[in-house]
Amino acid sequence: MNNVETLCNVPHIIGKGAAWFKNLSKTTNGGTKIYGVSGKVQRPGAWELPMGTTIGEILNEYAGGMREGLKFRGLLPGGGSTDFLVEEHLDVPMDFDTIPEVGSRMGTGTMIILDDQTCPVGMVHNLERFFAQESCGWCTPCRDGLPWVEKVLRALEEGRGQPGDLDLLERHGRFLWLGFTFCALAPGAMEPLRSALKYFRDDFEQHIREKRCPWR
Amino acid sequence: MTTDRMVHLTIDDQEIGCPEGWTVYEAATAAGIHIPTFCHHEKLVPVGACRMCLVEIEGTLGLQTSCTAPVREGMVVRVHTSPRAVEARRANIEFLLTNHPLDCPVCDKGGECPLQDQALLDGPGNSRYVEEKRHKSKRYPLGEFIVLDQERCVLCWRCIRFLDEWAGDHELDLFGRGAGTRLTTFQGRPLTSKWQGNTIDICPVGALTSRIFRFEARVWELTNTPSICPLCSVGCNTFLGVKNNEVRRITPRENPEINDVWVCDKGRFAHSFVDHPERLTTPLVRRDGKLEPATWSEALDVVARGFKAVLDQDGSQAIAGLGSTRVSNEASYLFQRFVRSVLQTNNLDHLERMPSGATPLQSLPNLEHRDVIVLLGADPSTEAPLVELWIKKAVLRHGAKVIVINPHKIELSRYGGPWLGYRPGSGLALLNSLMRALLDTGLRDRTGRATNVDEVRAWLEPFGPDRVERTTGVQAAAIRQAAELLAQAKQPIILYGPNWLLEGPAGSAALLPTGAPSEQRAGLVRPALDLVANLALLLGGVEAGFVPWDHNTLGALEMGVAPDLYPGQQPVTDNRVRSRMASFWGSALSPVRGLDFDGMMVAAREEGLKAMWILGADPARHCRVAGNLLGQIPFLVVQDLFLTDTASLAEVVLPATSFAESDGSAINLTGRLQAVTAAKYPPGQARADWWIITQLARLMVPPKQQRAWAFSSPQHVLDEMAKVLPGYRNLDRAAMLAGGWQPPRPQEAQRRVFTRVNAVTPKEDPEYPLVLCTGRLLYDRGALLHHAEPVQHVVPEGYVMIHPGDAGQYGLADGDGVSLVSRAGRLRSTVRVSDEVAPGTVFAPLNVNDAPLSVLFDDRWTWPRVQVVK
Ligand code: SF4
Ligand code: SF4
Ligand code: SF4
Ligand code: FES
Repeated sequence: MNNVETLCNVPHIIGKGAAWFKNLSKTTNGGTKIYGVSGKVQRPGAWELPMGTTIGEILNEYAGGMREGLKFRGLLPGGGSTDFLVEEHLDVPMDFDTIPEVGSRMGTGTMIILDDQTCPVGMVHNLERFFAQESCGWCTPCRDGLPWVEKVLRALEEGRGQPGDLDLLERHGRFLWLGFTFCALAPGAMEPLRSALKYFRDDFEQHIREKRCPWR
Repeated sequence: MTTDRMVHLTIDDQEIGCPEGWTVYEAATAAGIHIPTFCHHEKLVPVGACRMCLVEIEGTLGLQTSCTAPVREGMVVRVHTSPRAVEARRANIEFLLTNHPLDCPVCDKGGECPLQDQALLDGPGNSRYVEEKRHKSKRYPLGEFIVLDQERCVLCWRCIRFLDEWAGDHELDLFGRGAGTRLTTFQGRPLTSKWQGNTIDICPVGALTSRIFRFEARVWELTNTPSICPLCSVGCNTFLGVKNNEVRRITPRENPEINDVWVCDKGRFAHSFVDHPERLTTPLVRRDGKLEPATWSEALDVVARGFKAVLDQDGSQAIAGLGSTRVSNEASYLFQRFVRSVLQTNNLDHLERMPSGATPLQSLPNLEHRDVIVLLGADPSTEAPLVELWIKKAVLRHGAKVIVINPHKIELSRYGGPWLGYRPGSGLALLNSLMRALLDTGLRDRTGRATNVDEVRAWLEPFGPDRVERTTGVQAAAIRQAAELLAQAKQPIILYGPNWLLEGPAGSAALLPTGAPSEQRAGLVRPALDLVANLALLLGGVEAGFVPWDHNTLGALEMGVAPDLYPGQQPVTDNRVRSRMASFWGSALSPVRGLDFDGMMVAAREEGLKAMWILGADPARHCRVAGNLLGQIPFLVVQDLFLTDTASLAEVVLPATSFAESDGSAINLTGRLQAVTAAKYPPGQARADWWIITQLARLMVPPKQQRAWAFSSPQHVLDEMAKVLPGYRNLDRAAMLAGGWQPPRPQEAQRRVFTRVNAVTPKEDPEYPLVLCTGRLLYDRGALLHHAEPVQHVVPEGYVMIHPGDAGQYGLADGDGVSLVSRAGRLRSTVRVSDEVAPGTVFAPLNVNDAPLSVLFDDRWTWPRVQVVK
């Protein structure tokens, strides 16, 4: 264990006891958590808050809500390799037990917000480009699969999308998944892709139909 | 780790039992269930990188790589019955193909390519990947022998792991990451490993291909004939790939007792001598001083009449035969039979003869399990490469130690030695000192079987490590370190080579007139052999094995190409043996011991030798004195592949076949009898040795002896050998053809007594302050290799290696042109300053200079003292 956030808790737990620590939380996961918010919000930043503070509270109370003229569409709760959550999840407490129940992961606890004037396909493409670059190259699916994913998404963004592309992306989502690859990098990369295909499917289809990115 | 315990599991509804420690992949394969792999190779440690072998294992999350998953009792595995696993493997093939070039029509791997096969079996029929494929380097030479196509590489690590795990040569690696990962060498340096050719075989795609074989043929056009590599004493099992009657490629043939699935690059790439345009294609007969083509009947007639004339006028003592460590057993056997029964003489010998007191190594794979390996004047890396590979396995997998006792710091010193770099000629003193240090470590319990330990303690008194430091040049600490290692060793072994035999009592050799009787000369190697036996006994009677250089060294001796020994090393002076041989050969035999090679040369000088038949040897090239003397023999017949220096002196030259063109057998360094099979027709009129000898005999023997020479194939010769050679009665031909047949080893009485060896150290000679030692290189300009173009590019120019301290003292720098001068002669060379040679010693490789190093030797048995002058 070498996470600074975790280590910082240790002296306090020793000093003040486990019960005290547990009581700091709003849910059954004890203690506090450092939450972060980035994206087009009023006040991007990081805060130490009681564990289990809801997504909506963090976004609206601490990050000050969306910037003028923008609407909230979704978020990656724990960084680039977690599944998207959307409007209906704003009341969900951010803790290690609850977030997985709604289909994502706490990850780092630093959320990335998607607004209504940013292309979700573009956002996912950006993430996949990052992951394709970060692949160490050890195992086949990750090394050769991620660049493929990235290229398909780029084609969508550039108006070259084909009707079968979403099936292809879904297939990659299956085969770059846990249990197929050597490590968790590729499955992590698939989380935003798989959930984007679930929540923003219309946007993907629009790219193919209109042979362009509507946000460009 | 495999144990004896059995584990039971179910794979695709099949119940399977296998030893604990196996992987799921191994269990499935053994049960005949195919699982595709790319990164896995049975000879390499699994890494689980490619994900081709994914299977479903009940009770585990996700799929598992079967090449890394150990079997467990009660495990339920699904390979082909799991749709998820099947689909995942298909997806993987598709991923691999996305960036794989469409090269199959021009790719040398085509036809034996696992990726191609797998794509046909499991791959998608068409490509969903419509994006641009990634581009990397194509046709990128990785050195003299291999060309890399990075686009075809599937990054399976096999080549890297082979070089790391087996060869210990970390020369290849993957650079960059993700899709941009590339295989290459460090800083673009050329690959130098002598094992690199094996990466071609194990590469699952056409990324690594042979520069020698490149575009020579499509693999399905080759006829692959099982054969044996003739280039060193290991005798690796191979396939000769022949197309249009030319050997195009050599690949290893698996034999766990010898070469496993590997061969060295020399054996793989140096085959073009077989189809060299300078091969002799017709007999040559000297007419008006010039060698002219002749028919076989003309040539054989000239030879028969020539020999008969000498027999009639000068008697059989004026004729001699010189055989070879390179020809087949059948050739050697018939040759000595001919010389003994037709020419009626025991004047028979061959160069590089193994002393009959030297014991062959018992097993190659056993080397892996030795914990301390002593190399005594042997350099397996250059002399018998597969021996090196087994030693490296012992070192790399099991942490064995290698003690190197050699004036030259050979490649195997790289594992920390210790290296005992003694001055040539002081080897006996050094070994005595090592034994003395061993006794000092108090390994009393080991010496139980010896009867005279206390005596040996007294003999060794004067050889304390500190006292020999000055004469041997080896630091006492290094000797003690070696002794410590040996004292703690559980499974030590001693390997000694021909160079060790030259450590006889230096100085005394010079007292013998050249051409002294062979037993006196044999006496000179005795002390070197005795000391090896002493050391082995001191360590508790451990194995000491001789590692000869040439292909059929053991065969030439065993077939009796020697002045004093019949086949099976039976003495010619034994009446019972002699009458037995006489009955087999249909002729009375000479009871007198014959001349050895030195004796023959003395006889030539004294004009007593009138005729000589040389089979597959080129003494004139190795020794100028011998060349001059051979030139004086009135009737010289030479049988060889090329017009060698010796052949150019002959009256008649007979064109012989190479190992690729005739059936026969050879005995490798562990005494294993192996079959060689003809893979192609000989060039022109060249004929097999057994045929030539048989034809000549039929011309010469009287009618009633014709039946004794009725051989019609080498198999018939082998039939007779099986009757004549003790121990060959149960010769198993099927085994011989399959993987070699091991004749029963003569049961030698376990030695219990130490033999006293007085180590005479060489006298200093201020005028010639340095001692020369020589050795082999892997690639040289020797008899066959200098006709093998591709490897000639990696043969260095001749050089003389000198220690930096000596170089400083004599004002020599790297690259200086110098003369090496001894009392016998001089030789031009180039200086190489290096600490890979002991101080006071210079090292020069054999067979690379135009002039033979033998000009510096005054006889064949001592290292010459030299000076190096600019
Ligand atoms: S490596 Fe195999 S699949 Fe690739 S081009 Fe060569 S033959 Fe074809
Ligand atoms: S060159 Fe061949 S053996 Fe080496 S990593 Fe690439 S595919 Fe594997
Ligand atoms: S180790 Fe010896 S026998 Fe084997 S391939 Fe090399 S030269 Fe030939
Ligand atoms: S063969 Fe098992 S992962 Fe490559």
